[in-house]
Amino acid sequence: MVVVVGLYAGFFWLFHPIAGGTLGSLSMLVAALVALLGGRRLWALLGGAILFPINYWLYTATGIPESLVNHLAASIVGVGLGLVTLAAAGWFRTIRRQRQELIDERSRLDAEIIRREFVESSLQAERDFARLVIDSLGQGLVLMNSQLRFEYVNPAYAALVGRRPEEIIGKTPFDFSDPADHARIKESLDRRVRGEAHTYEMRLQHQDGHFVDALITVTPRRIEGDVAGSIVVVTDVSRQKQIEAELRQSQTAIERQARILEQTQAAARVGGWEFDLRRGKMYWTHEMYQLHDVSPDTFEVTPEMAVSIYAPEYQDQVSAAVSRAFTTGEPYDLETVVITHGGKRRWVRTVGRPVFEDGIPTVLYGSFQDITEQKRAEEQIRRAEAEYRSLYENVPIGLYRSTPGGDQARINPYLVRLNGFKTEAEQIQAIKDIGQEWYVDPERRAQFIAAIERDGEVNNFESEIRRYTTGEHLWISENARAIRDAEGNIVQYEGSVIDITTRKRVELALEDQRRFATNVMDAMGQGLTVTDKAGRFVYANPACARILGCTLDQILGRSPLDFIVDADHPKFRHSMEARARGEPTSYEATLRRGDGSLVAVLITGAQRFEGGQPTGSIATLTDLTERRKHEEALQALNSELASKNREMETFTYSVSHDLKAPLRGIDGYSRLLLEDYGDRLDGEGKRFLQTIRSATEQMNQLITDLLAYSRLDRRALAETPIDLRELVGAIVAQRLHDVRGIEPDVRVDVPHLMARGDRDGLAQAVRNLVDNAFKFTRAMPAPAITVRAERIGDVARLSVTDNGIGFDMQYHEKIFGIFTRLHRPEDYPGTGVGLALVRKAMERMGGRAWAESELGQGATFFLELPMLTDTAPAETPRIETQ
Amino acid sequence: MNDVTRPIFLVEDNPMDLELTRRAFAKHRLGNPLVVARDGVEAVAMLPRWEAGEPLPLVVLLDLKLPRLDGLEVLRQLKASPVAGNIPVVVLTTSDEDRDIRTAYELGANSYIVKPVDFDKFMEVASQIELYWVALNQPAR
Repeated sequence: MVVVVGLYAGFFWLFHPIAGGTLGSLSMLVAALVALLGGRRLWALLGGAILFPINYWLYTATGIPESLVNHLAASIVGVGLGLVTLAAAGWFRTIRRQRQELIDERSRLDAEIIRREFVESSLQAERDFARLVIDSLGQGLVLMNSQLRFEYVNPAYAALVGRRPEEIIGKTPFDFSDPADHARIKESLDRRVRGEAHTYEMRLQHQDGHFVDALITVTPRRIEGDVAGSIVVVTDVSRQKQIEAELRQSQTAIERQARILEQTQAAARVGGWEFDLRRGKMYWTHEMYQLHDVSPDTFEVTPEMAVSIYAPEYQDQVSAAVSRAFTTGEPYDLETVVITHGGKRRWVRTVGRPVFEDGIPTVLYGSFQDITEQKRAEEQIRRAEAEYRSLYENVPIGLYRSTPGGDQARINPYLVRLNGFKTEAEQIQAIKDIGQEWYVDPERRAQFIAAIERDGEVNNFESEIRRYTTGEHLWISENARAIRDAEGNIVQYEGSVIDITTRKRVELALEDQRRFATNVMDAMGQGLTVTDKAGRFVYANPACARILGCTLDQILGRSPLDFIVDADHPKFRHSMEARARGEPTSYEATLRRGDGSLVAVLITGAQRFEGGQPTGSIATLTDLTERRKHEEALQALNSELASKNREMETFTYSVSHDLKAPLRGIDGYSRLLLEDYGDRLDGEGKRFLQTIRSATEQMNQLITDLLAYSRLDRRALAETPIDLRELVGAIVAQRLHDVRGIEPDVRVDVPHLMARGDRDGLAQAVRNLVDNAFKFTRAMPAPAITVRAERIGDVARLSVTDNGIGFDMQYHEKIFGIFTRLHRPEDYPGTGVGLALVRKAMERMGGRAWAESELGQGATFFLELPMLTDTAPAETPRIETQ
Repeated sequence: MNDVTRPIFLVEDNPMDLELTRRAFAKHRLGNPLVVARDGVEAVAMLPRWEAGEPLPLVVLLDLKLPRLDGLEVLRQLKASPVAGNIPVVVLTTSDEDRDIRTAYELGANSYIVKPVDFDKFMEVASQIELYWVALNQPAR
């Protein structure tokens, strides 16, 4: 300020038209001195040092005349102004210092007041808290579950009702109260279900019958916002009233009592706070500071912290609850998240309760509990529960709970599906009696109950059950145990069910197979033996014992070599070597029976495997005694037959020569008689000789046919491919060539079919049929013969049809017999051998022959013989042959 | 061509057949003499005589069913003989058994003829034999 005044004076002189000269400069110097006196030495020096030379230069250079008066006036004014400035500066500084001192004093006083008040109230609170904690040790503290049953009671509560805590667990408040109070308890229970914290009075009934007045304070327990039971503090009212009497002297004491009561409900890890509206102050207990990771010595608590300590997403909720508490008086109880001073998030339960005086809210008390651990535990429980539930619902094992009475309490989804149902409820609805409706054998349920009552559990209890919806039978295996109540009575069965149908079916099928195999082995006529790796019999069937003339015990454990005679031991060894190479073997050997007699057997065997490893042998024994006998008998018969055949052959050979030679003589000499002595014979004589000759010819033909017929039996057949078209064509052409008289109309409709048979035999048969056809149509006005062939499946069928005289079908079999004729020889000559030969030839070739006819309507004769497999040429166009 | 000094050797036990055969050849007026053996033993008895220089026959007509020694055995010995081995042998028999026919040819028979019962046919056969074996089928000189 001094400097400003000094400078102002200097500038005033500098630009004033009448100012100037050295006095101007002097006034500047004075002003600077004044500033110097005012305490601003540096500024004064700077001002004088700079302004003086400038001023001096201006006035000497411009040459303006100096005025002494002016200089004096200016000096006076400058000094005056400097002095005034100096004085004013000193005065303002004093005023300001005095004001600062006043402010400081007031602030110090305020802090002192606050500190004193806080210390006082803290001391008071801590004293009350300590006393009531002690009191609370005598209070009943009860935890109740969501089913409103006792889960925990402390000794104090137990003492109040005169029972041991374990007698109380699981019971309800109704069991220990004055029946007159039941309505009130009912109301309380309803409020608990709604999750409301409340307090009421009732009378407890002691075991010995007397009643105890009690104050019940209920605080709901919450898990994830859902009510999960409650915490109940039960206070003996007589003591309570005594305390109340003491505290009633002071209004605040009562209020604090309520606050402490609330606080005692929580465990020791509870912080407390109080928001005094009248003073606009917030107080925290020691635990509160700890919860916020701060020290009471360095951290200042402000009213805003009633809301600001919470995580932003919870602030609205808390703020609303606090406002509601102030406006309606409703206490609040919230689970929220706070953010500590260090920035950590903590789950807390915060409870607030307002206090009103004359309808005006004055204080908000609260407790503050760290429930982070609890939350974590809850989360773990929830997760474990979810895992358990997932297991329960998805495990491929049936799980159930049922009662001894047969009611089903719980059934998991797998078991529900196993029984064919869609939902648990559907099954419980449908199956009323497990024993009758589930087990196929109704006795099974009784056996199950008997076992579980005897042992407390059953394991691998296998039963056949009925799938309710389809009636299908399934096999299951059960494991179950009994759940007993405190008295040891079974209240429930808890068990698991596995579907073993597949395994059981395999087992049953195996059992069937095993039984079948055993039956077969026991029943078979052949001996069956099984040896182990060491070559000892481990199994022999009854037939084996019969063959060996031993009991089974005498066989088992012994070696085949004990039974095979020494001479056959090499055969046995060779066989074992071959079996080891994987070849099945078969050899004949002689065995010594139990009584020393010998028996010839055929031994057929192969390597045996167990679990893929070669293990001994399995062999069958066939008793050859009977077979040998049969073979010998057969051989004897064969040789007899062979000798008979030889005899027969010699016989027919002789017949062919010895019967024909005389015939030739008869014919020859008849002829010679005619030639040499014809002139001496009359007509009658010559006719007789002709008759002799034709009889001879007939006899010759008969012998020839007979020989051909017998030769068919004796001759070995040569099976060759035969082209039917070629064969039939040749025979028909030959016969047409030989025919005398009317030539019949012959049609050959035979494709190139390849049959399989004896060429000569077939030719003979066809020739006979064609001859017959010629013979029996000879008398017809227009004889017609057709030869056809066709393939029918695996056989070739050849037919010869004529329009001749035909025959009555009743003689069908007769005409195929030997020496059988239907006509007089003078009408139709023949030996009666032709068709018999046809049939025999066809049967010898594996074919057949038959005929169809009607008297006077012609006849068709059929031959059938096998086709040549796979080599039959494709049918070629038919060629008509006349 | 036909050396009329050389005989036809007929082995035949049946007198009727012998007579008929003789008649058949006579009918054709063949000049060759007919030497006859009435059984197998007689037939093979000719072999040493031929070896001794008796004229060899132009052809042998051999029946199979012969007393004492079977016709097939006779055939075998004839064909084994160094002097008679080349003489044509015509089997003339009643048997038409395949077995006989086959065996005869195997043993070297030059022809096998079944005797017809019918005399006319028999005569025809005889003349055929004559014509072929006696008149035509002779080695050139």
